[in-house]
Amino acid sequence: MNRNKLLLVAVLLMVLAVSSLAPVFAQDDALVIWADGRRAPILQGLAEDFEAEFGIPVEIQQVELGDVRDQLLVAGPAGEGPDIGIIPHDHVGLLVRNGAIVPFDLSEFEGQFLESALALFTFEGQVWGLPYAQENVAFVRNVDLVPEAQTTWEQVAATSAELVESGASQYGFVMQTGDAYHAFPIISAFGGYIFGLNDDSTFNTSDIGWNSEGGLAAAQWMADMYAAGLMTPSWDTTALQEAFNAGDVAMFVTGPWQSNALLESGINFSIDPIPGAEGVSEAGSPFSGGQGFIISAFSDKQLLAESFLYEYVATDEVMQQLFETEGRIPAWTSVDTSAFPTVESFIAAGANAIPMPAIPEMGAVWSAAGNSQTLISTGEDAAASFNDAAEQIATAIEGLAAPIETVTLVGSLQDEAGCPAEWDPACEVTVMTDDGGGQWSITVTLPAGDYEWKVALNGTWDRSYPGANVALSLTEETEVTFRYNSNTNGVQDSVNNPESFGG
Amino acid sequence: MSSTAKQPASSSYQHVESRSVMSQRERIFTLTFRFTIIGIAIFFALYPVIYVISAAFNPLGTLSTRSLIPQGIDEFSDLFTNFRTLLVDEIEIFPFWNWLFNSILVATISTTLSVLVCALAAYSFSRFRFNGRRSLLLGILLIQVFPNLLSFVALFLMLQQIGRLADVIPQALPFLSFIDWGFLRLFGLDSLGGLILVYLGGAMGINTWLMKGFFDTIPRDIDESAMVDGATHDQTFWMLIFPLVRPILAVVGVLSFVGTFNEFVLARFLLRDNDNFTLMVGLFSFVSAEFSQNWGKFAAGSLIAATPIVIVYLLLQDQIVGGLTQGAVKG
Amino acid sequence: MSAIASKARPPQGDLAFSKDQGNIVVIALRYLALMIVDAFALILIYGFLEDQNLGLALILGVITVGANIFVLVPSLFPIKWMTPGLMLITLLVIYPVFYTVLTAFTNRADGHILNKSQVVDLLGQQRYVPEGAQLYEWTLYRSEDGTYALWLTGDDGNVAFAPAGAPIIEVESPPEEAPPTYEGYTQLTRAERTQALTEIQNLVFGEGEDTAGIQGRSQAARPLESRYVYDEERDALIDQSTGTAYIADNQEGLFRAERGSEVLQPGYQVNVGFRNFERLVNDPGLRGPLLQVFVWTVTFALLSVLTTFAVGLFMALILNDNAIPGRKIIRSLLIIPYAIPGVIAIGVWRGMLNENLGIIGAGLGSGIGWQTDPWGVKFGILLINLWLGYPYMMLISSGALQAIPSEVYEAAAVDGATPVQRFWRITLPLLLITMGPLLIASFTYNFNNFLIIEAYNAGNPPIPGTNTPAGYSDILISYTYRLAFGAGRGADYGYAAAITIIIFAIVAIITLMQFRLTRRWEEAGANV
Repeated sequence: MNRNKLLLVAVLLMVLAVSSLAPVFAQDDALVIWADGRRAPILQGLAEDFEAEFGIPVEIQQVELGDVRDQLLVAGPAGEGPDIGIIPHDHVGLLVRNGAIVPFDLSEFEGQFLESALALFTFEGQVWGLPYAQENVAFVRNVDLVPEAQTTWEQVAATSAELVESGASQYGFVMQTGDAYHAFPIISAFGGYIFGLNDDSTFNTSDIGWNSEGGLAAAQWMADMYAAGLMTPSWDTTALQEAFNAGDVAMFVTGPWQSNALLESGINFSIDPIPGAEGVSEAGSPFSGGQGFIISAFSDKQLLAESFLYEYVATDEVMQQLFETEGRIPAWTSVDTSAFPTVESFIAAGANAIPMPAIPEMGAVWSAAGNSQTLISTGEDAAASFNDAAEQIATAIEGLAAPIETVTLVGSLQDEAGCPAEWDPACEVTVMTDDGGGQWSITVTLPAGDYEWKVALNGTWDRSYPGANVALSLTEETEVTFRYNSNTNGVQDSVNNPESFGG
Repeated sequence: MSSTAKQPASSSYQHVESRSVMSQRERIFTLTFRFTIIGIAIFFALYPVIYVISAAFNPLGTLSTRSLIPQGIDEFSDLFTNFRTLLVDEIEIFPFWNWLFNSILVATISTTLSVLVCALAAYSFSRFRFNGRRSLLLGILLIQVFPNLLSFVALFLMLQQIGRLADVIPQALPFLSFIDWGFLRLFGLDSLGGLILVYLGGAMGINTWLMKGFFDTIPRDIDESAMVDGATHDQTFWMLIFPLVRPILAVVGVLSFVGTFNEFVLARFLLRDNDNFTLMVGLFSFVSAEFSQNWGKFAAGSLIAATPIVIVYLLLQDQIVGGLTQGAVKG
Repeated sequence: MSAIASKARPPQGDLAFSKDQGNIVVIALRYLALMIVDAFALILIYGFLEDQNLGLALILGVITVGANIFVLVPSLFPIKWMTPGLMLITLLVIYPVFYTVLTAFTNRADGHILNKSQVVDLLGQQRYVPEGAQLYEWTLYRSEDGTYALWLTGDDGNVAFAPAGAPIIEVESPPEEAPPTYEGYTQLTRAERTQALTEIQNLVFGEGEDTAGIQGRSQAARPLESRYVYDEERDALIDQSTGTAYIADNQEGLFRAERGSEVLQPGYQVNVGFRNFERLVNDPGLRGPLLQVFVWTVTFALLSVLTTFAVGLFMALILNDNAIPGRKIIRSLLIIPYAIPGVIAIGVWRGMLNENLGIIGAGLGSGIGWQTDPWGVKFGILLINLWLGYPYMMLISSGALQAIPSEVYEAAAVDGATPVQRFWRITLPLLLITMGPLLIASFTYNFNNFLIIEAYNAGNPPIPGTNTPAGYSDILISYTYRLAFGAGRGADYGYAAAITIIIFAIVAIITLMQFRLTRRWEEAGANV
């Protein structure tokens, strides 16, 4: 029995120990910042200055960049979220969609932020973050093995073959396996892309360019490299860096986060722009990405957070410190980049960079696109692999898009056409007839007046086309025919587009 | 306890063998065979660990498996770059000892409580027959295998609510404000108490099962004779059964200690302040950045972190293998 | 050894309870303790209700009532022993499961994370500058009694002074700079101003029709108005800037424009019935390589358990022999893989098995295709899992071996059984009594062992020609979660929860089947 009593006493003592460990609680009036381990120390210093000057406590909590998005959506509504966070730019789209962040007005910093960095944080016409860093990959070359800059991927292939044959190094150029981010510059050099652009330069997610002509050419280039034994599968950046340091790999693609590793490698290296493709492009485009500060929409201290960011963070000194932690491309133009001699080269390689899309649909791209490249590395057919990937992306995005069963003409003309209500996708009177071949149409006689219309699929608002309502003005009673094409999701009516109706 | 030869249960196997007809030669052969196996096993167990050690001494912070000799070492002191950064240079920013202390505290308390609670339940399952016993047993195991991806959201909101009560109760029930309800915050979000609470639920089902299985192997004669002598269930449990099942308590203890010590998924979500981090949460922040993982600091921290685990194991090892069943049957 | 057929025995409850009742002090103390616990629980429940958290109040209520019943009803005394365990399981395991089940019937996903009132609040905070409003730069003042006021300087040079809750004064022939004091208000210093920011950000300056509000760090607008106003009668948010009414669509969890299909962001969480399950049935992913993935999942889980158990038990048996010197050290060395965090261990193994650089992948074991060949990858995963898992099995086996009474062996030796026979006939069956459920638990754990699959090779190599990305080493949970999180619509928690429930059903069925086995083991055990 004694032993048990001792045990109980021990437990009690431990409980007391916990209680004595007065945990640090966020004070209600403290400005809370979520920062990752690398940024936290810098912000901690700022926090102390801020508190000393204004008497307002600032608390830095450590949350990794990639975790901020999901955690903000749980903690924010519960009142436990931060006022300020740091995120990678490609999370902006989903955060905006969740109403979780507020827009910035950075007009007072005219010229002080890189335009390209601001563009990364721009979504639906507004800036949602205060950027501090930008990054893109570049083509890294061992100058002793490959003295000449490579201008095309065809040349890269030839150089690789020479190096391997002569035994100068084990491999020439090697790419990361199954990694669409690092493969993209090759794809883009050959003219491939991920999503096409609409006229308003938003992404058209039904135009998937992974298996476009250019995409397939890039796939074939990779397949040839693997078939010739010039590249092998199972490489990631860490392994490539290691083999590069040992002189076994002469060229690879990487970003500024490897700056320290490159500088310490002892290899005589050069950071070049991405090679192009013969007759297609001068240089491949890498993706550009960025990191920046956001203000939570759930915060009750948004104005204070804004002051902190504008007056304390957007300064030469802090931006300099943020740059020096990692050597990413600074988004603040007046940063002195001499600490990392590699930065200027990465900036040059990013001259034609394409902002990595911040739209949720990208979630469907990474694994499908990466898989297709892995398949090529193991000898599967190049074109088939890329076509499958494009198919997978389309399937994921369209998802459960049920087949079209009905198409309904909706708008302010519905009551004139005999429906009980306007803008009612469930009205059966204005259901179009299926003319075959993806063509749907309906003819309605309407009195004079100004109308707006669009079409809705399957009796709900889940899918409706076009994005904006179509205006229709009638000066007299008119018989109007409306058409919808399910292949292009385009619409026409006989008044606005008389040419298509043989008029 | 120090001399294994005195332990009757573990020697029983051997005891039997020695009685069988076995020449000296055969014995030597068997021993050689065993040592070969042990050698292979130790090699298999430790070879990957050597790389972890190598990474800990590699100042470049990479997890290199190309060569065992750390690269980037110009002078002897470079070997300790990671340890120095972790324990000296950045100690102000990343309070390593705090993290280690938190981890040990959380693991010790939740292990002790969990072992006690599970032992009570296991005793009941093993010794009493009641309606719904089997369903209950099945239920607690089944509910534990629910792949609970969203549990962290529920647990987060739960701890947050508990912490809020510290303010809500004195407001709603002013006549109770003579009690300092602030103690509820010790079990709220971003608190070690809350984390312990969450860990207690963790492997309870499986541990109860494990103990129950062990309790079943202890002959009922023992407690029945005690009951005949007039002992209550409580007395039987604490004085007879509890000492008898020490091996399994130690096993479960080691398992839950290691489990909680190395857990970081939940802890990362529930802890925010640097000072409240457990060791794994703190270390994980060095490698969770996508392109800039510092495996060196992680490895160095892991090695230091592995020490308490091995110590706990060494302490409990005698309990685990020094069975008392033999003595018990005699008693 | 006498056989005790426990099931034939009557319950011993009455006897035990009467003994407990003997001591009045003990009983009094017990009731007192129970009363204190109940009072405390009631206070907490009241607190939860006050904070409008019905779920937690309910679960705590259930726990409290349950605990009281178990303690107070004599015939339930066996369960009394489990009360602490059951309380913890209810609160920490069942409640989160309950939460997941509820989520499976909602549309909780990116864009639908908040509930309706949160969305109304969030959108209600948005403000806009109506047409014809005047824009100013502002300077902050405060009176003795703590009322704030703004000194407003317009672009066109007109100046106004706007105290909170009092009419705005047009300042005629204003000074160049904002004066240090004005009408009893004092201009605040930068520090004072910064401290006041949170207080003033939503303050209305001016009175009645003529008001001004702070729009940003330097800009104020007169007036500044709420953009969205909730109209309870129509269940709609009215956009004040355009007059458009956004009607709540409680089926979809959206505020949708009265005319057209435009919706407000974000949407909100609503109950969608079985829609997530219907979606799962129709998911193109299910027409993909699901069977293949399922077979590998079961194989992986089964082989993981078998290999770790076999190696763990084998080592435990070998080390159970006194003739081996330094057993303590050897055991400690063998346990080390368990002490190394899995994240770094898998990283090291990945490196060692790498086909280009790894000591095994490119050296001794080259040609196996550890990361590229469908079979090689599977073999690699099993090898790593063996390394990670055998110490656990060794630990438990060592403990369980102690529970086998030596008399059993002695009896067997008399019968002339060889060591191998003894193992199969005695050691293993007896061990399985203790370890059977644990093996099942280990099976279910590996069935959902997302970490090792993702960390080793992320399910790769890919299976060619599928309609959804899938890999040869994908297990059910890694494959299906990709359907919920990698479908290009952000994270879909409702769908993931539905998937979770289905996977749970599968695991539960397999577990129940396995239990038929342990029932036999247990019956055998009871007769030792």
